[in-house]
This record gives sequence, C-alpha cells and structure tokens, in this order.
Amino acid sequence: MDFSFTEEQEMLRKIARDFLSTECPKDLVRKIVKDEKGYTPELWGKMAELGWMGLVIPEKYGGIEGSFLDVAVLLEEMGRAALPGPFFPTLIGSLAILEVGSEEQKKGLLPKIAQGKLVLTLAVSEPDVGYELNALQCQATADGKEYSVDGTKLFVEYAHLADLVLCAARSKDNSGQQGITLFLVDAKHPNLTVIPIDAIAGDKQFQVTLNRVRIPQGSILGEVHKGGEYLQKLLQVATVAKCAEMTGGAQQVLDMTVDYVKQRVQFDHPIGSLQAIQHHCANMLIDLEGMKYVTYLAAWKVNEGLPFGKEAAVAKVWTSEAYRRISDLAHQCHGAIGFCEDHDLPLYSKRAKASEFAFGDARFQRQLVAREIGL
Amino acid sequence: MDFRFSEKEEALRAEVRQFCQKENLESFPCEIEDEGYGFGGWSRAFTRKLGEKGWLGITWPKEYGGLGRSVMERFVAAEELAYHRAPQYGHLFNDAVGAGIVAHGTQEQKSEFLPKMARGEIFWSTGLSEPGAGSDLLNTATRAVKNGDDYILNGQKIWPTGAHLAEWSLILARTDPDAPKARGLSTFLVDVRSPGVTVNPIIDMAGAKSFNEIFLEDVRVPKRHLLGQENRGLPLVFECLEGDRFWGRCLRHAGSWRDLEDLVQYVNEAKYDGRSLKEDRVLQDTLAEIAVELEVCRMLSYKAVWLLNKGSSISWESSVVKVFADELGQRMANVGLQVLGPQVQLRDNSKWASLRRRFMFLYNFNRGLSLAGGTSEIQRNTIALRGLGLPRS
Repeated sequence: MDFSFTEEQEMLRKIARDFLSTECPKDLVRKIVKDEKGYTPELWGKMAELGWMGLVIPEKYGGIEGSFLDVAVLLEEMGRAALPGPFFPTLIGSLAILEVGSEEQKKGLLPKIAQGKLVLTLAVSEPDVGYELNALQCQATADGKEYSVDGTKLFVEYAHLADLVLCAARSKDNSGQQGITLFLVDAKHPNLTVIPIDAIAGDKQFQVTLNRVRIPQGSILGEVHKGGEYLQKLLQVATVAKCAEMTGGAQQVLDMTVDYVKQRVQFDHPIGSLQAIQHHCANMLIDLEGMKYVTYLAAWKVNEGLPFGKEAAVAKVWTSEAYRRISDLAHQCHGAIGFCEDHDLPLYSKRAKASEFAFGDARFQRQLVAREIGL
Repeated sequence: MDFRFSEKEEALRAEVRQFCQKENLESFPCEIEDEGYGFGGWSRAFTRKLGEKGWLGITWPKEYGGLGRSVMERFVAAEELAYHRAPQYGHLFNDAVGAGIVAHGTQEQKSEFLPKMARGEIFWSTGLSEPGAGSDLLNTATRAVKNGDDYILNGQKIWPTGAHLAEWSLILARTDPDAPKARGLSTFLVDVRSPGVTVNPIIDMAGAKSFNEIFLEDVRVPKRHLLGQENRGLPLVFECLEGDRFWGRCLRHAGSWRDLEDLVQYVNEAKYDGRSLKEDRVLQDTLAEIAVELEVCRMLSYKAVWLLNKGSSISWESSVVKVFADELGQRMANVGLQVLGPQVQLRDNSKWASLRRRFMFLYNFNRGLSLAGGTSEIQRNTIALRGLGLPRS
C-alpha cells in the first residue's frame, strides 16, 4: 500500500499550483465568471504550452502520455484555483476519443486537442433526463449512410466555445441502454442552436438544440448502437475526475478558513482558539480526508484498469456532500465577510453546489451503490 | 499510489481467513460479549489460540515471543479476524501496554512480560482516567511515593476496560506533586492481585460488564516496575494512546461491513406491512449511505496504518479515525434498528432474533465509544491543534 504521489506527480502539482496562482488569481477568476466568454485565450494558450490538454494523450498523437493519477493531481490544483474554462469537458472528450475513436479520428483530432486548438464538450443530459441513460430521448435517425439527430441537451459546458459536441443519441427505439450512439457533432453546424443557461456558479453551461443535424459516417464515435455501455464508463471516469477537482476546491476552502480564523481577533482572541471554531475546522478536515482517499482509490483503479464503478459512485456520494458541508462550515467560520460577492469563498461554495449535480448527485449515486451492495 | 496489499500481506490474510473458517469461532466462551467496536468479544480461550499462532505479538521482536512482522501485516490479520467476528478483543488490550513496553521497557520488563503477553497468558488494562479527571490526564491525583525499593500508590482509577479480567494494569500516578502538572507523572506496571488493589466492575447501559473502577490503597509497586523514566509518564501515555486510539477503532469498517451484509440479506428477504423491504427506496438510500461511510472509514484507517507502517506519527490521523469510526458506529447501529423495526426490542427466537439482539446491543454499547479513550470533542481538539495548527485557547 502506498498513499504517496510520485516525484513527477509532486512536481506536476507544484508547477500547476505556482502557475495557477500567478496566471489565474481570484480577481481574474471573478472577471471571467462574469464575462460571457468564460475563459481567456491567453491563459488557455499558456496551459496548452505546459502540455495540459495533452496530458492523457499518447506521445504518438502529440501528447505527454501521463496517467489518470497525473490528471487527478492536475484537476485538484485546477479545483483549488477555481480555474474557469473548458479544460474539463475537453479532457473528458479526449478520453472518449482515445477509448473508442477510430485511428483516423485519433490522428485528426488528438494532436489538435493537445495543442489547445480544439475544444470539446459532452452533451448527455436532457430536460427530462439526468444521467439515466435508459431514459435518453435525443433521437438519431438513419438516413442512408448518414444519421440525422434531433433533440435538446442541457448543461452542455462551454458549448459556445466548443468545436465538437460529443452527443449521445438514441439510434434504436425502446431499447434501454442498448441502441445509443455517440456522435461528434460540429458545434458550428447551422442546425445546432446554443443558448446559455444562467447557472449559479458562473461556469458556462448551455442548452444545445439539434434540429435535423446530419452526421456523416466519419463522425460516429465508436460503434453504432453501442455507445451506451461506453458512455456509462466515460461518465464514471468523469465522475472520478470531478471528485478530484472538488477535492482541490475543498482543500482551498479549508486552507483559507484556517488562515482566517488564526488571524481574525474577536474579544481579544483569535477565533481559531475557540473550541466551537476548532471543532468546525476539525470536521472540515475529517470530511476532506475522506474526500481525498475515496477519490484517490477510484482514480488509482481507473489508472490500473481495474473495475471502478462502485468506487466512483462512493467517491461522488461522499465528495458531493462533504464539499457542501465544508463550504457551509467555512461560511460559518468566516462570518459576514464570506457572504460578500467579492470574497473568494462564494466562488467555491457555489461551485461545490454545481459540482454536486455534475454526473449525478449523491441521491443518484447512492442508487448505484445500493446495487453494488446487493440491494 | 498503490492500494494493493503486498503478496506477503495477502498470504497472511488468506492464512487468517482459513484459520477463522476452520475454528468454530462461536464455540469460544467470551468473558465480555461483543464490544461493539466491530471486532468480536473478549475471549481468554480464543486469545490463547491467537497466541499459539504468534499473532498477538505479531510485530514484536522474535526474542520476546513476537513474529517480527510489519504493522501492515498486523492490520491485515486484525481486519480479517474482525470481519469474521472472531472474539479477538483481548488481543487489543495488550496493545497500548505492549507498545509501551516494547518502546520504553527495560530489558528485564521485556523478558518478564512480552513472551507471556504474546502467548495470551496475561492480560492488561490501563488505569488512566480518574473520577475527577476523565480525558484530562494532567489532573491525575493518584499518588506514588518512593519508599525504599518500592513506590507506594494511593488513589482511584475509573473506566479501565477489562480490569476485572486482567492480571496487570498500567497505572498513571503523580510522583512529583511540586513539578508542573505535566512533568510530575509516572507510569507503573501494577499487579492487580497486589494487596491494597480493589477492582469493581461497572455495568454499562448495554448491560455489559466491561469496564471498572480500581481503588489503590497503599499498594506496593517495586521500582523495577516503573515503566520509562520517572516523571516522564505523560508523554509515554500519549504515545501509547495514539496507537490505542488507532487500534481500538481501525477495524470498524471490517466488522461493520459484515453487519451491513447481514442487514442487506435481511432487507432482501423480509416483508413488513405486506411489502418487500427491498423495494423501499429510502431503505436502499440509507444502507447505501452506510456503505459509503464504511468505505470512507476504511480509507481513513488505511491512510493511518500506512503512515504507522512506515514509522510516521499518526498524532491527529488516529483522532480522525476514532471520531469517524465511533460516530459512524452509532449511526449504523441506529440504521440497523430502523431497518429491523420495532421487534428489535424483543428477545424472541424468531429467524432474525440474533441480528436484532446484535443491533440492539450495538445501539446501546456504541453510545459509549465516542466517550471512551478520549471523547470526540477531545479528538476534535487534537485534530484542530495538531492537524491544522490552530492556536490553543
């Protein structure tokens, strides 16, 4: 058993932390959150130079060929910095292409992704569907060799910046998880409409409507009708990745709270010397410790190619609720100052809520856990 | 990062599993019933059996009856025993004292005690708390006064677990009343059959006779039974308790996982109000939540044992494990009662009677765990001060 990160991972962590604290200070984050673009090309370009978009991409496609644990380390630091932008959906899209893409798709797309020249996003949820793939309604109709896709997708991150939308649609009727196909849809297709959702955390989410969007053969990702099974796994990987990002955010929330309660004096004592505050902080640390190790366990299993469905669900249940509890206690310890819009804390506590819903909230994930324990 | 156990550790796990499957674990008489910690009851006979395997002193040097194996191997063996509900609790009594003697004992003390402890022949309790000072060991009032080759001890101890079954007790006493409170305490290895020692069991609200009060009246303790240096008893006790906090709680996930399996089986088979319990979405959610928390508990324990195994301190990590495990134990016992329904109050002979009795016992007994070995509040203070560096009040 070994809970430590490798030297390379520690180095990656340090580089990422230093870079993000310089290049992505909170004032910039606040500016980006309010701006409708939701990212800056300068920051995106510098991240690409560091090789981050190609972290999981094999060298032969222009990437660095890092491991999933490396990704977890990077995502933790991104969560810690509250980094805005389309890194996360692009990463998930690139994992999908890596896993089921054709050689042609890999050769054509992965080098561009690694260079930061291609933004991807994932379109699964719909107005009446969260992540229950059996219920997907978006329809793909065969039309000669092509497919025509109709439907509405919700919570598609950074769709306005994306080059390609990885869209899950039903290619066979009434067949549950069977009969789903994944399509790489040109985000600039004239029959595709992108409408922003005014989301609480300022992360850029969109409703994407597809109206007879014709998809050529070459843009089908993986096998026709067999996207469901793979999508399930992709969503589980994304869940673990999201947990890593949330863990970094929660660490930052705890760190800023500890700093604050050491300095803030009330009635002649730093409030951090009061037992009530100490117990709040201790509870935050206990929750955070839990977040870390269930997330690392799941990420390690992904890395090793071991089954990780249960671990991913466990991590998301715990992480969703623990991050929220940590944010709540941080607000209680900060008092009114943390309630101000210009304070850093709301950047995190709002994101905690948004992340809680991403890839299925605790209630959804608990059902998966219930199946795993034989209920 | 690597969450696999080594081949050697897995081999030991398999050996312990086979041992548990071969022995009729329920046939061993228990002096104390299952303690709710999640690792079975307290059985002298079974403890001797563990002694025969060498697992009691598994990490101790071979020359003192140990096997010289790693802390991780000890954990793996204990985890497997806990899952099988082996009555191994007596094993853990030895730990705080065993660790103290290994680390701080004289050559003579090691030879005198460790081999017998490793064989399961003598049992220990720890006499730390006093009526006026629970977790606040600085206010220890029991006195030890030098008299020739002996110390004379006077005072009263409360809450030592299993003192009525133990032959020996580790007693914390004040040797220098004029020194600052933290610097005048010493630890003694006391034969509880010595004249002047009275041990009275206390019955807890679960109906178990597990802890005690000890009265010390002019008890003579030879100098050779002073453990560690005179007036340096407090740091020694804290060091022992760090391990004790961990070993006393680190198996919660293993024992409770077995309990959860029982509850899942019950839910899958039982009906109430004419409906199958397994279709109850709320119950599914509740049990899934417990499974999640047991996984968190497991990983917190793994983190701490990994640190211990590489020789690092677990000064606040052991408190994290303790708080989490104790509070989870209480939540889980309550969930068990909710699942099993009103008949948990009955001691009937129906199909699920043993499960009901178990959870009713756990519900009552686990109440005490967030108090024993330092309350959860004390643990949180430790986490805040040592884990987060917050200022003292």
